[in-house]
Amino acid sequence: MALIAGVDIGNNSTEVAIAELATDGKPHFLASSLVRTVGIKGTLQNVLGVIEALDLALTSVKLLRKDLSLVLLNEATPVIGDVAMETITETVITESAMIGHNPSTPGGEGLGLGTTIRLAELQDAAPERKWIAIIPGTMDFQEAAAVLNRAGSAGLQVAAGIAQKDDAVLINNRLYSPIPIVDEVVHIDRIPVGMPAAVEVAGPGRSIEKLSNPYDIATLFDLNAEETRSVVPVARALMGTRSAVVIKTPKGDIEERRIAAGKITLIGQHRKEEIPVEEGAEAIMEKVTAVCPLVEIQAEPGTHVGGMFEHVRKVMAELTDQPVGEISVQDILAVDTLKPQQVLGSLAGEYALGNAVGLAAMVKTHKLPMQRLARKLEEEIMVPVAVGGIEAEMAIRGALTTPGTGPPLAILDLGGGSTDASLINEAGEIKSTHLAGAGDMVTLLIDTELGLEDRELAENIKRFPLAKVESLFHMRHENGTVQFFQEPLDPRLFGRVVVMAENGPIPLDIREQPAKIAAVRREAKQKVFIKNGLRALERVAPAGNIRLISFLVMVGGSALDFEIPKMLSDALLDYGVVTGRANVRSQEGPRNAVATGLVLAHAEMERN
Amino acid sequence: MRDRNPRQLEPDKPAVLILSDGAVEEELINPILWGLEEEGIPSEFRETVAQNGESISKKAAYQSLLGVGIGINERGSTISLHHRDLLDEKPLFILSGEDRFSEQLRILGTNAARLVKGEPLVFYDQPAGRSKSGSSNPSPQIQLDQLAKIIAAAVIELLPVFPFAGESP
Repeated sequence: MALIAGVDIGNNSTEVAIAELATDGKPHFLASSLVRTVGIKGTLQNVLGVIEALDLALTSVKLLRKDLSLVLLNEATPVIGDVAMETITETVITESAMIGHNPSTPGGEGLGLGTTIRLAELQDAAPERKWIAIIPGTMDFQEAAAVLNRAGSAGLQVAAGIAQKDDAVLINNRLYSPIPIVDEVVHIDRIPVGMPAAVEVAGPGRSIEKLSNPYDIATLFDLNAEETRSVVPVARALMGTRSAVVIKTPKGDIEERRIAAGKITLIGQHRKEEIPVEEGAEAIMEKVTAVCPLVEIQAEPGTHVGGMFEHVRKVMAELTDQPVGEISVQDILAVDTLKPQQVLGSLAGEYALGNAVGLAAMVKTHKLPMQRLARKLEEEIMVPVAVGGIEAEMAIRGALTTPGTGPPLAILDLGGGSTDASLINEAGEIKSTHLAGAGDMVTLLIDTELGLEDRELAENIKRFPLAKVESLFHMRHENGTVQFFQEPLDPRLFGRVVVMAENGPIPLDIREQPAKIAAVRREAKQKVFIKNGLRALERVAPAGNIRLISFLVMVGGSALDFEIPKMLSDALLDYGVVTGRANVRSQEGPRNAVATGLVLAHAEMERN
Repeated sequence: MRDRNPRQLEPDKPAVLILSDGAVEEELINPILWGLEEEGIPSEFRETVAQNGESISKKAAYQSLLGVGIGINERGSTISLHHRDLLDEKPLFILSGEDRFSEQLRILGTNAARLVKGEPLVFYDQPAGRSKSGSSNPSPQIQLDQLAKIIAAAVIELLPVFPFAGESP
């Protein structure tokens, strides 16, 4: 009787399955374990994680390392991926021309049209014109209200106000006749004086109507057709806000500029194509399909994409001890996305949505140096270590232990850096593919679209559902259920949208409703996981037809995600494929497929 | 004269109640009232005499129809924001000593209003804008008591199905 262990070293986790081989060669599984992978997959650092995982599994059944007669390592797939974002449009304001922002409490309501003037100069202003008062933060709101009231009594017409501090309601409450006031305009000193301007404040629960419509702006400022065309970016940027200011400056200009983001060169077996990144994801992916099968992809140095390509190639070169020149990027996934960007030349930190393209790249080499790792492990644990079969093959074997499955069976592993699919047909032949773009890409898209600039937080938003803290004692989860707490919640969580992460709720500094944030998250998963899942399945399916796959099981960590299995199942419903999460050995769920497969393959070999 | 919101509501209408133990300076009250006013929540100020050991802010929260009150102790030595649902000895925020300058007082008023409205509160250490560090700062209460229980329950429930739940994709 022999005790053997199958070890699967993945990008994120290291998994172990321990089994006893009976005299008839049948494996009897005793224990399994999972730990975080130490170091990059394929490096000697992995040994630490492997030992930890082995010990964890062994102690659970009161066995020791020396009881093992053989440890089997997987021939890990030599694939690494990375992601980058290229912004391709930006909004630039030359000479301040607009302010569109959402201070939480603007004052008054309605539209005011007039000429900008500093509050201090109001007393000397002409009575026959309409004025828009600029109220600096240095002036107390009581004083500001008094000045405005005095001006009103003296017969001056003040149509609206623009305030620097959060004082709009306070000022407005003290006026004899209320006017719309926009506040929290940080760079108030940048507002040009003596220029025609319009201020609009909408009522609670509504958004501005006039200043978000190019023709209303044209009406207010008497613009010709050409000028109206140029205010479109202004109107677009102001849509949906509760208050806004538009100022007409003689040389003022707002333009949406395209940024050159470098070129990508796609080299296929039969043809070669070049495409500038700023043409967008759709154009890039079209070219990718046209050039397929791809041999190599190059990116222009000096761009984000170029930098990212260099990085993955370098990591792989170091890992496999090969010169960088011999490593090439073999697949890319491009996704269009919107990126909230601070408007250049803005007055109150306004944001406009710029277009961006997210790119994921993947490199693949022939083999990772697993033998080196095996020898090191052998030295450390004093048990014979062997490198067993190919990862995809082992994963399929393990996945087939899921009750209710049979060939033709496909497995799909949506990982961090790559999307992997394999298929076994009735004849037992295995086909597999690795595509660029997976979990890390989803994280990048969430980070970009929500303007977080915090990868870790984006990762948490990807992995966990949202909730809104509605009182000091309860929160409403995104599915509508309410959870009550015995102890008051942290005041920093109050009124906020939170991510229900492992270590407790994390407050988000975003004013969007949970439904909007959840929509961004789901769309990112749809654009990457689902699209790439289908792309991968098409590559392995018989005759490229997904309908000819009978069973699809999801393996790996992403199968445990709280919404991906449903999204994938929805997408595959039309193809008539039985889709679900693996349940390896009827008990491991989507985990441990490769480790289990290693043991099974070895046992079969012993029997023959 | 105390600067009052000209559109102040009548007594016994829904309002955040501010109680002070005896007379206090205007400079202490006004910023609080302004914080509330800018947020559009009505407020009511009254002087009272505190009973022995009584939490004056809790009393204000109890008497307020909105369940939110601010208590100003003897000559303004401490000022606290309280909610009807919180324990007597645990007000939401307490200002004392050098904390009591105008900006802090106005934030206290703003937060009293936001507590009523259910909007995110303002913190002096991170005025407006983004709080990048706030991401890993969960409440100790939730983390220790509640969350441990919730996670334990969830793990027990999920264990037979996914023995290794909790890994990232």
